[in-house]
Amino acid sequence: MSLSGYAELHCLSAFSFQRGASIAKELFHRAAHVGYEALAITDECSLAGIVRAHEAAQEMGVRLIIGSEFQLHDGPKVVLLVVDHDGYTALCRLITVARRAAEKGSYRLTRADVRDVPDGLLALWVPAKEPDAEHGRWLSAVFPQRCWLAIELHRGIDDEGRCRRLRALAETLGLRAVAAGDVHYHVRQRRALHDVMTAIRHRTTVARAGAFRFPNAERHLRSRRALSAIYPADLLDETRRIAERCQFSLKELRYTYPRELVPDGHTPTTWLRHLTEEGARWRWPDGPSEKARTLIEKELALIADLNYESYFLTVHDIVRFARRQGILCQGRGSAANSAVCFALGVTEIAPDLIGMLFERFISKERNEPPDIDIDFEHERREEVLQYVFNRYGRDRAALTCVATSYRGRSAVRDVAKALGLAADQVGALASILDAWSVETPADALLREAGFDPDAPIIRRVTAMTAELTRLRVGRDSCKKQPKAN
Amino acid sequence: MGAVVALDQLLAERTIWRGKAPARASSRAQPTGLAALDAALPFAGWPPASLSEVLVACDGLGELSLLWPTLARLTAEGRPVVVIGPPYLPYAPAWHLAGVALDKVTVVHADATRAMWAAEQCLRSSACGAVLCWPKNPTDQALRRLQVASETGHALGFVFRPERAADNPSPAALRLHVQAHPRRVRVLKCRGANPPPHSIPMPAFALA
Amino acid sequence: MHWACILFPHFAVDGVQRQRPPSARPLAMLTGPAHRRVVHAVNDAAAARGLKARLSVQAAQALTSDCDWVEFDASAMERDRQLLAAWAYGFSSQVSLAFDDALVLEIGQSIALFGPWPDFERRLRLELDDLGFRHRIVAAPNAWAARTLANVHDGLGVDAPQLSGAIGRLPVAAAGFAPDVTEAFTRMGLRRLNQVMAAPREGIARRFPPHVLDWVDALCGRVVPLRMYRPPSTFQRRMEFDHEIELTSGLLFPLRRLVGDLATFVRARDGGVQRFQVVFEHDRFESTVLDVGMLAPERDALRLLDVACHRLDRLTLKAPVRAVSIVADDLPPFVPPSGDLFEEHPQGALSFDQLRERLRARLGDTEVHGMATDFDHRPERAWRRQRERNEPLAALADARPAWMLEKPILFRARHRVLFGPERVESGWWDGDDVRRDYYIVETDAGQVAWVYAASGERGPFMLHGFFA
Repeated sequence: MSLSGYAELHCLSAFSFQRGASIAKELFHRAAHVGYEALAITDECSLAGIVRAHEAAQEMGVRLIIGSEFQLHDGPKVVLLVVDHDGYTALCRLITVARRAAEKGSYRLTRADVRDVPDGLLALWVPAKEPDAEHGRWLSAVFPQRCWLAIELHRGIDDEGRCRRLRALAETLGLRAVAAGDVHYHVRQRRALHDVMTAIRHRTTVARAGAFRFPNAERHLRSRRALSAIYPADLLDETRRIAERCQFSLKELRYTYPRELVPDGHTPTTWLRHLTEEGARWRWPDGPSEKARTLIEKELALIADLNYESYFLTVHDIVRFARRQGILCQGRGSAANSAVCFALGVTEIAPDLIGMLFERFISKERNEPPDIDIDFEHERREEVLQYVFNRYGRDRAALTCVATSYRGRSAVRDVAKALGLAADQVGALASILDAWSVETPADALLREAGFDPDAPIIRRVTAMTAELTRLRVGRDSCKKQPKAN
Repeated sequence: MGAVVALDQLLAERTIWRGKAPARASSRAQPTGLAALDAALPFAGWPPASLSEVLVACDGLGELSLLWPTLARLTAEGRPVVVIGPPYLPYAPAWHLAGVALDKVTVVHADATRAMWAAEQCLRSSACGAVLCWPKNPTDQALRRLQVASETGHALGFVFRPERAADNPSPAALRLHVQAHPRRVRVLKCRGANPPPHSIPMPAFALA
Repeated sequence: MHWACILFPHFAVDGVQRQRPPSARPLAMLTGPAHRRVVHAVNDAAAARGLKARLSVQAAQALTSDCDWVEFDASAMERDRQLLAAWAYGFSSQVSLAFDDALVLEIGQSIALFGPWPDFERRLRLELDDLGFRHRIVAAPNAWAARTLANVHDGLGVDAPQLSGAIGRLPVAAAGFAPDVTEAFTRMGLRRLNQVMAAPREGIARRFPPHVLDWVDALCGRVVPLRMYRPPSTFQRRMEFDHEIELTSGLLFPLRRLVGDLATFVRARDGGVQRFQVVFEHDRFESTVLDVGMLAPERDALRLLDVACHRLDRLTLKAPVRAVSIVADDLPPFVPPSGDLFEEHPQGALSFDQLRERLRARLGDTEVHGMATDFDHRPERAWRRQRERNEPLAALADARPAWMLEKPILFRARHRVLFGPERVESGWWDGDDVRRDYYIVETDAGQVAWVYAASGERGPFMLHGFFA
């Protein structure tokens, strides 16, 4: 029996905070294993995961489709898929608009925001349990000829009936129907971790989270055989046709830094050198040491080589503003420990005094952009934000949420709580975690703290904590970066 | 003087509450949920303040679905419903989906003798809207007691029995026989009217 | 008439006899130290054989061997006094135990509530009969007059204008004076109270202690403050048996009396009781405690007894019973069963709470339950038995059967699949992980059944419910 080809068009990764329970690597590994032709990563109102997804896709040889899932504030749930560069830009814009319209950590996208979307974005309508035909009509008007009705079946009592009714609805609305998986993790076994995450997200225990849990583990990357048993072949085939259209790759992207930082008559390279020299005279009134001089030269050469001048100029610009306003700021991160950063006033540590290894600043081999974190005085952070928005324009600046990893301590705390342990037990588990390597939980430590390491509940806590930690998903922290236009 | 409305008219329209509703159970029809069946019955539904018998060939023929609308309405009005000695656990999610207000439902488990005692207590108490029971080989006298208790307590009594009981007479005011292949219900007896000559088809099983 | 006195002429004996099943056997109460035991009081049957108070025990035993000898218990008598005061408190907020063997209660205000005095009096007598205390009742303008008139009268009602006449006719010997005072008056030739009242006050004041004149003044209506009874907030009563009671049925009578006393007590407080304990004491074992709880406060003696008896039916006592007591620490205010404003209840109507109480008492707590849905995907955990009423939660799934088998059984019937599978995979966190595919099938008999197989399998099927 030959199985239909399939591309999954609706899949969350761990970057959908506490919703997706698998990381991109796991998802693509599984997609390759079950022979998917492509896999869309459609984290909710976020593109945070696409770099990892891109790497994983490259590694596993399964094509990545970039997309994002949205629950419109006044409309349907949709998945938008990127066809080309225009589509990608439009999606970035939508996410920025939606994130900016809401509190940190959430978003708000309205129908009014979704106007004039380019042809480079495709839409999948994900109808609710009781489909609202008006949603479908509206969406297909906004995305003419590029809107589908996604049929997502997860072994409910009447999948056949639902499929039949949704197909009929699609026909009525003049839409094409397509199969999708609403995938939340890569394999069935990830169900437990997902239940834990769900409980954490809703601040309750797994046992009490019934209303939020999924009834089964069907929201994983199912084998094509399993899919064939659920969906008619034409719905599966349609996934490939859509995937075919989505040929955009992250490789096409290049970051363009703001130009206005460089005065006429200067190139970014000469201007950065100018500022650095100026700074060096301020930092080392008697002239930099031999070591510092060498460092500066070496760094400037590397920066020029990698085309990162504008990046440093941007950072310098923001720091200069803050200092002029008397706003306390402090650069940190590995890149900040550089002679150039010291000279530019980004950091306060003279690199020649601490023997910093330059290679930890930026590395040609790793081909990673430099990373400079600047902490601003909390109460006056907003002034800095306003400056950035005004100087670079709202359309060119964005607040990004950085996903940090779950540290063992907070992970065990959340997991233990979700599994219903008492507050004092949660505290005890967290406190012994300093000495506890998650991969090899020390039974002796647990015993010492009064736990039975063989008790099923403790075994569940340690196993889930280990899994959660490996996801490297975590809490939001705010960071400011000028954004590509 | 458009605001002046004759009191009689208000009463007739039941827009004001008279406090003392005329004979509570009989004041409103208690439809069975099967319009064709209601049409064939003198009270357009279950006989008020009486015992009704539902005879079934086997469990799971839709016999309870005949009661859902009535149970939903009674419980919505705050009237308790007691389920005595059911053959299986009444499964709360299903009863909830059927619109029954679960906080008004009480389930009583008892052996045959005590079940009859409990049914009679409940019916007679006037505290119940409806009482469902599954007696084992009840005597004619026992059923008569339930019929009297239903009248005394103005309650709807439902007795579920196997279909072989159809051969014996019963003091119940209404006797229905639920049959399979195809699903249909036959009225064996209804006080105040002649039973309709034909059985009435019941809808096939469908998801809500 | 503002005060009534209820005199208990056979208080001690009634206090004992009311705790025993009715019997014609002679009964005598004994008191005094071991070397000088005397009869304290006797019942009618014993009196008929010549027994009387102050007879030595030897003398009494010489008169009859067929007699129940009971130790006089002053504390038991005090408990009875408290009970009666609590009972009277149900009729009047001014009740006093200032007099021995009698209680007085203010009735002037109560008549408005309980009808004219003759009706009121009849009601008091009926309830006292039920309580098992013989009594005399007299009503008068003040408590002292009522008390004193009750010494010789029963059923007398005196208004203020007739008071001095009625008091005056009383023999001095019946006026309630101490014996030496009575004797002194008699020696002075004063035989009736009117003579005493006519005598010069200075003379009486000189010859007698001051309380004698105070007494006379009080009889005539000079206001003297009375110490009023205040009802306690808990109830506790105990009955001890001469012989160990071995059969549950033997406990019925004492239980009825105790529960009756409890009802009397809470009714008098215009309250109810929602929880009480019946404690059965054994000789060599720890007491058996029977907790009796109800959904709503209750004060009807019969209903309380109904509940208690049904509980008793289900109780297995580990040893014969020596004594039984009832303790009620938690006495909530009484809330009458609610009903529609104009609703007519037929005879014997009960509130639903009362009905449920009756069912629970007879069938057992676990056999009577409510139901509610619960948020769990595992079908067997998607519902709960409820003891108390609760708001139902929303159901999780669309298609669930009206009937569920508590223990699924192998499903062998020939069938065709109507719907499914519905996959349920849930419960890993409590060690009861379930992985099943549910199908709705129709059997050849026409039944619509709910069956499941292991996740991903098409059989064998287990029967889990019926769509009825």
